[in-house]
Formats: sequence, structure tokens, C-alpha cells
Amino acid sequence: MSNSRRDFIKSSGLVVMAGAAGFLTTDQFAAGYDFFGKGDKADGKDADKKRADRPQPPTLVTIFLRGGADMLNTFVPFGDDRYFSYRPKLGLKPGKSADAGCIPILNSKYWGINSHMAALAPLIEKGQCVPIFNAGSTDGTRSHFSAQDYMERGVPGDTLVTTGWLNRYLEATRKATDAPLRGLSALNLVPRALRGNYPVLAGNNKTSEMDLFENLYNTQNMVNMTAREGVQMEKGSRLEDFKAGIARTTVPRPLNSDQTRDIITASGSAAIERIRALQQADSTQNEASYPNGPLAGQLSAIARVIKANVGLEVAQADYGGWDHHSDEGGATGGRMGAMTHHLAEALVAFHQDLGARMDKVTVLVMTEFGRTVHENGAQGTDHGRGSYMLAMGGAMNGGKFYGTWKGLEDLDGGRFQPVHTDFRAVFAESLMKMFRVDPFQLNIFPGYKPAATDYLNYMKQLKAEV
Amino acid sequence: MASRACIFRSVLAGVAGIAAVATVAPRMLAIDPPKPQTLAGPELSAKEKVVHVMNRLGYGPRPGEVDRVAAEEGWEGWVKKQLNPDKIDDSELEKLIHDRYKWADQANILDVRKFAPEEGKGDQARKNLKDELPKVVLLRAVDSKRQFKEMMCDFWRNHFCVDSSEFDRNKTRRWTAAHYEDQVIRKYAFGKFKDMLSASAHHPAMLEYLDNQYSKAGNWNENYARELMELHTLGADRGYGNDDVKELSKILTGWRYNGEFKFEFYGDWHEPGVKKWLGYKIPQGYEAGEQAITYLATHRYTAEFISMKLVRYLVNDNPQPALIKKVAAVFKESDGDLPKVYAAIINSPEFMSRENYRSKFKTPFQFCVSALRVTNAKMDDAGETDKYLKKMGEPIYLCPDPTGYFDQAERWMDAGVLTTRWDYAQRLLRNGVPGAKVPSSFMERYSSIENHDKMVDKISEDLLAGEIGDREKKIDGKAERVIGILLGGPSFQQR
Repeated sequence: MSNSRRDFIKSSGLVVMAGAAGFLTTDQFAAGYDFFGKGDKADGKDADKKRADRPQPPTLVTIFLRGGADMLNTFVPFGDDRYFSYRPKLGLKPGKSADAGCIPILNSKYWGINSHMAALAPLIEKGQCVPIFNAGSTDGTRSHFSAQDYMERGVPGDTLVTTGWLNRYLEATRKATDAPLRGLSALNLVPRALRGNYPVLAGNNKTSEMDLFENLYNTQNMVNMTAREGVQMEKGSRLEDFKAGIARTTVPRPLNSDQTRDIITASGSAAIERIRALQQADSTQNEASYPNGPLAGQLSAIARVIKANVGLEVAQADYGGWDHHSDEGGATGGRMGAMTHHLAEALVAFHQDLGARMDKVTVLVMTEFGRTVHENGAQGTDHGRGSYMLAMGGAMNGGKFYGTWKGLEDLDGGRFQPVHTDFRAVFAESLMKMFRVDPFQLNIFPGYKPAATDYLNYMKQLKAEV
Repeated sequence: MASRACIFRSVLAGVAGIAAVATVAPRMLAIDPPKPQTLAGPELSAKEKVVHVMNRLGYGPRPGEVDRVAAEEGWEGWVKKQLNPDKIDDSELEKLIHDRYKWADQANILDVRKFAPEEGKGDQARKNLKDELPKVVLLRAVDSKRQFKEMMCDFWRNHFCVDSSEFDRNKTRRWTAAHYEDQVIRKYAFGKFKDMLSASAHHPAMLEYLDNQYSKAGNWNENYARELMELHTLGADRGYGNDDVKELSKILTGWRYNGEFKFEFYGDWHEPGVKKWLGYKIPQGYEAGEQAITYLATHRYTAEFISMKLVRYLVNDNPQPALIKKVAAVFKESDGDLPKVYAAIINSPEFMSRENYRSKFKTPFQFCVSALRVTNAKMDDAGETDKYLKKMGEPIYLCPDPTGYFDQAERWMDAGVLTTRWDYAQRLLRNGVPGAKVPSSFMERYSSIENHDKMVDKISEDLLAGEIGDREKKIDGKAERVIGILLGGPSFQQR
């Protein structure tokens, strides 16, 4: 293991108390603290106006398609004859009529998009949305659990770094003047990518007696306010760490009663601050009509928080159910048709809802792995390797396809799409260009040293705030 | 049986079978010299020991129960009883369940025609099975006197996770999950690990949940084979590779359920020919699959993996290797005899150490059940509580991942989850959770005390054995409010 990796692990073990300090309270924030460090305090009266006038920070929204989404029936290489021999029942034929399986995009005689995603095609044509082909993990696991975990932690094949890559970004750029709601999960739970030492709110849960709970969950009340060496909130306690736990000679120290209590207290305290910030989104409205469905609900909530301008920088939404071992559905639609349809409609609604604000918003769609190129006997596909990613926003270098595609003769193990683009290259580029940070200096991807040519250059640098 | 003997003779000769032939060796991650865990701190008092076993091996005490157990049987007496659940009389609760939920006469549950013989009643009967299963699970957790059994059933429910398919109405496991709960989880939670593994492998709910039902010669489906090794037995990436997953899936092709929802080996669906699995040559046929499962059940890595998970569940979120090794040895020696494995953990010095006292954070399920127990709530219908569990990310029999729900704090330490707990506790005390009624006799125990400080003291003693924080002592208002907020406070989240 490299020295920098080891140092990283050591240093990440030092901070115990997630919510203890280091962000503004909602009142301070509303009173006009500026999260870009301009220091333009305003008094309480025109705080709302100040907040509205404050520059919108860039926001990175990640969407995790859980279950291993199939690329070949999302972006369809209809120009490769092998596609139809691999997928005699599931294959999507191109055409312009409503019942065609796929619609050619970007004037291509080779690539189409699943016709259930027709709504997204105009955004691709306009350069607001870019597909990235054969992207994925350098680790070959085909376990959903391990693959999702590696991707969200941003460290394929490594079980020692237990925090998520988005949380490491927040933590590495933490300032005393941080906005209260830099990170948000649209679900009731915080997904792995957002887990770590930086407190992130999940869901929007209100409760009565908030002031009283604020008193009970006050960080002044903690047994030990100082960090304890060797103990951290995020520890390797998930399943894969078992193998490490047996094989390696040190394991995280168990938490005792006081430490557990401190973490509970800090967690509750962080919750209250964030809920108060989130309530400011109650006054904003969606300006697009979202479809009904699991993803759209999350995206519409995230859009309202972006509009509330409470400093949101990273948010994640989840869309599960892509593990189509059976009944994937070809031209007839099936499970894949319904789900890609919802994905496309939800993305389009989000884009429309945010309008000009999309200039500072990037959406990254990802999945843990792709599927076998061959269909199986149940008209489904099994776990594969490479799949696709999607990036959407106002700053795309749009109008083309990204990633390396060498046709369907380029297979991994004869059954899978290979991984030619490391997902970390896509993640790192988004951080660099949106937030103007150097992810490597900040060690957000421990152990990863890309060459300049590894970047796809799929998006433009956002302008610095003035 | 002759064939069985010869296929696996070489395999069973040595426990290190897999390691010897593995193509993928477990990675070694040694970094620093070992730091053994010290069992620091003073010994737990007799009362603390009672609190500990009731919170760890059960869903927490009823009001005042700690004092009674401490005075009468002591923690050791309580544990001894709990390790023999069949000897604890729970007939009153079981009668209530069978009266309230007619299908709970479990034996013929898979044959809907038998327990719902009237024309057209089958669909309704199946719907009832799905809707009522979470209620029965919750009711038993709250009201069963066999608290440790209920605790371990929840462990195995998550270890051999199946969901009752919330969205797809055509799925068999929507209603066969009730049979799975009874005939796989409850039946073997105090039996042998290998029997539970085998029962799960043959059950329609599992065959469907992990797609083995659709796995066919030439088009095998790897889902079940992968999770069988990764989640149910050996652990992730422990000495096997992707080819072994593929080969095991071929070995298990043809394992399906038939039109009567009974297990049946479909020879036509079975992949012919010899498979190379974990370095062994496995012949075709049904018996080979049986033996593969037996082999996995008895493997050293399985003993370690299951022991690790049990220690993590019962002792500390970060299980210590020394204790895991001790427990794994008992697992191996006893051929996976689960009560012996449980006893090895409970009787270890680590279990009862100060370091591990109140060191765990309640899962949402543990939180709700402990709140219902400690308020003596009368359970007419647990459906509303299951809805709260859904909001907190842990609805019963609906875990979307085959991993099952995690029991470590890390997974549940989310802001949204905590605030839902606050909401649930307050509503429960205001009798705002339909189906769960806090009896007036419970409230009167405290509302009758005029001095506020004395009332809070009594509440603190009864509900939390006196272990509450300074700020929690200062909650003002009536008993109902004090208790509602106290159950949402930090102290009640620990166990």
C-alpha cells in the first residue's frame, strides 16, 4: 500500500464526532453568512432576500441505478449485427415509428436509444446530456453488494477506506462557515457515497418538540467532546470487512457505551440543524410536471432544495430494481421499458424544472455493473462488467458519445462488455470542473493516479464565483 | 447414497478443502502489529447484567421487569431459560395468534385449497398471508416470553433474507414467505445451521427470490449460487472465483418448485455433464447439489463467517477476531448446533464486559419493539408500526437486498431515522399509533406521583434502569410527555 493511502486511512480515523462543529446554524446562515467566503453579512430582516440573491453553488446530483442496469438495451448498438444474434428476443430494432425498439441518436447509423426513453433524446441532441459507454469498476466482482459499495466509496477492490467519495469531498473542503445543508440524500437513509465524517441529511422528517430534542441531542451534552484516537464514526463493519477482519492483524476498536452515546447525540444534533435548513425548501415550487414514480419524487425534492439556495453541493437519489435476470422485455417494453421510461421522464422534468439553474448543476447517472451481452433463457440478462453512465447539465461538452467502444467483438471473458473507463475518472472530472478542487491533492480517491488522457473531458469548467 | 459417498469423500476428508484449491486467495491486509482488545472497566453489577441480557438477548424489559429478574432468577437463570425456548410456556400468545390469524395453522399453508377451501377464497387467503405476516412477526417480538428466540429469528430472517415482493403481484413469495418464516426460520433457529440452509435452498420463496426457479440448462442463472456462497455460507470473495459461481449455478439447475409449490428436481432443466467447482469434479444430477450445499454448510469459512455475524449481532459492531475464533471452533465441533454456538458467545467474558455494555445502537425494529414492550402496549394490530418501520427503512419482510437488513449502528445512524423515532415515541404515548394501546394502568403508575422529580425518577428506573442523561432528567410536563420524549432521547436508543 502506498504511503499516501496509509496516511489517508490514519488521518480519517481521527475524527469522531460528525455533527459536533464546523457548520453554520440555520440562523447564522439565514443571516447572510456567505459560503463562498465573501463575508457579506446581512441582518435578519432581509436575510431571505440575501439568501435569494446569493450566488447558487454548483450542485452535483448522483443517481444510482441499483441492480446492474443493462447498457445494450438502453443505448443500443443496432449497427452491430452481433447485437441481434446475442439478443434474438430482447434485441431492439431501430426505426422512426412509435413501435420501433430504438431511435437512432446524433445522426448515428450505429447507436440508438431505447424508444421508451424518447423524451431524453432531444437533450442528447442539444448537448445537454452525454452518454458514456463501457464505464465501470476496475474490480471484477459481480456481486451487487460489493460492486455498489466499491463504486459509492470510490475505491474499487479496497475495503479499508469506508467513507463515501461524496462525503470525502465535503469533508476535505469543510470550513467553519459551511452552509448547513451541503449534502443531502433524497431517501430516508444516507447512501454509502454520502456516508462518512461529514454530516449529511437524509429525507425530510419533521417532528414535534423539536426544541426539546435539540436540547437532549445537544453536542455540549456529549460525554467526551474531543476526538478519540483510533475511533471513528465510520468503521469497517460491513460484510466484506469480515475477510479483512480475519486476515489483517488490526481491526477497528469496538465502541463502548459513551462513544456510542456521543455518536447518537451528534447524529441527532446534526439532524435538527439540517432539518431546519431543509424547511426553507418548503417555500419553493417545482416548475415542471414530474411523472409518478420512485425517482421523480426524489428529483423533484432535490430541485426544490437547489432553488431554496441553502448551499446544497452534493445530493444523491436512488433508483433500484435493474437486476433483470428475467422478463427484461425487448421491443414489447417489459421491466426495462417501464424503468428506462421513468428514468428519462424524470431526468427531463428535472432539467426543465431547474431551467437556467442547470448551468451549475450536473447529474451523473451510474450503475454498479452491466449485464451479459447474451440474453438468458428467461428473457433476461445476468451480471456483467461494463455498462453506461450518463452526465446531464448545462456545462456538458455535448453532442457526442464518450468512452471507448470497439464493437461487440470486444468482450471481456466472451460474455461481458469490458470496462474501458474507470468510473473514478468520471467522478474526479465532475469535482474538478464543478468545484475547482484537485481531488488528488485532497486524496478523495485514495490509491488512484490517473493519467491526463484518462479524463474524457465530457464537461466544461464552471466559472468561478465572483 | 453410494454416489454421495464417492463424490465428496475427498472433499470432506479435509476442512481446508477450498483453501487448498482456491484460485482466488483471500487478500492479506496486514498493516500494523496486533492490538488485542482489553476487557477494560469494572465488572458489571448484578443489576447491570440483567439489563444487559434483557437488552441484548431480548427486546428490552417490561416496566419494572429488571428488578423482578434480579431478585428472583438473576441473569444466569434468565439466560438458561431463554436458551431452551421450547420449555417456556408461550401458549397464551400462540393461541391468540392462531385465533386472530386463521392461516397460522402453518402446516398446510402452501396448499391454499386446504386452508381456504371455499370457492374463490384462495386469493383472499394469499393476500391475508402477505398482509398479516409482518403483524405476526411484530406481535411475537413484542409479546413472546421466548425473547431470545425472537431475537435470533430476526437474525436469521436477515441472514437468509427473502422479501415478500411489494410490487410484483405475481410473485409466489408474497404469500409463501409466511411459510418460510415458520418452516425455515423459526423451525431451525434453535436447531442446526445446515438444516436451516437446506430448508431455505428447497423453499419456493428462496427459489424464486434468488431466481433459481428460472435457472435452466444452457441458460443458468447465477443469482442464487452467488449469494449461497457470498451471503449464506462462506462470505464474500472467500476462496472462490466467478467461475465457481457459474459452476455452482449449473450444479443447481433444475432445483425448482412445482405447481403445488413443493420442491421438485426438474431433470430436463438440469445442466448435463461434469462441473468443475472449487477444483472438484462434480457429476450431474440432483444428489450433487445436495452435497454441494452440505459441503458449504460444514466448511471452515462458513463456521467463521456465521460466527463473525453472530458475535457482531450479540456483542459488538466491530467483532474481535479472538472471540470469533473461539465461537467458530464451537460451531465446527458441534456441527453447527446453534444453541451451543449462542451459548459460547453469551458465556464469553467479552459478552459481559463493561466495554460492550450499552455499546449497541438499536435498529428501527429493535427500537419500536422495545418501546412497545416498555410501555406494556396492548397489541391489537401491528400494521401501523410496520408502516413506521418502512419510513425508517426496515419494513418487515421487505428488505430489497439479499444481504438482509444490517444490524450495525452505522447503517441506521441517519438523521431522518432518528427524527422518525422521536415522532413514533410521542405518538405511541398519545395513543396515536393505531393498534397499539398504552394501557391506562401503565400511565397511572406515573401520573399518580405528584412530585415531578420523583415521577421522572420512577419512570427512569422502570423504563431505563435509571440510566438516563442529566438533560433527560429535566424534561418537564406530564408523565405522557416525559415518557414520549424519553423514549425518543439518546439513552433509549442504546442497548
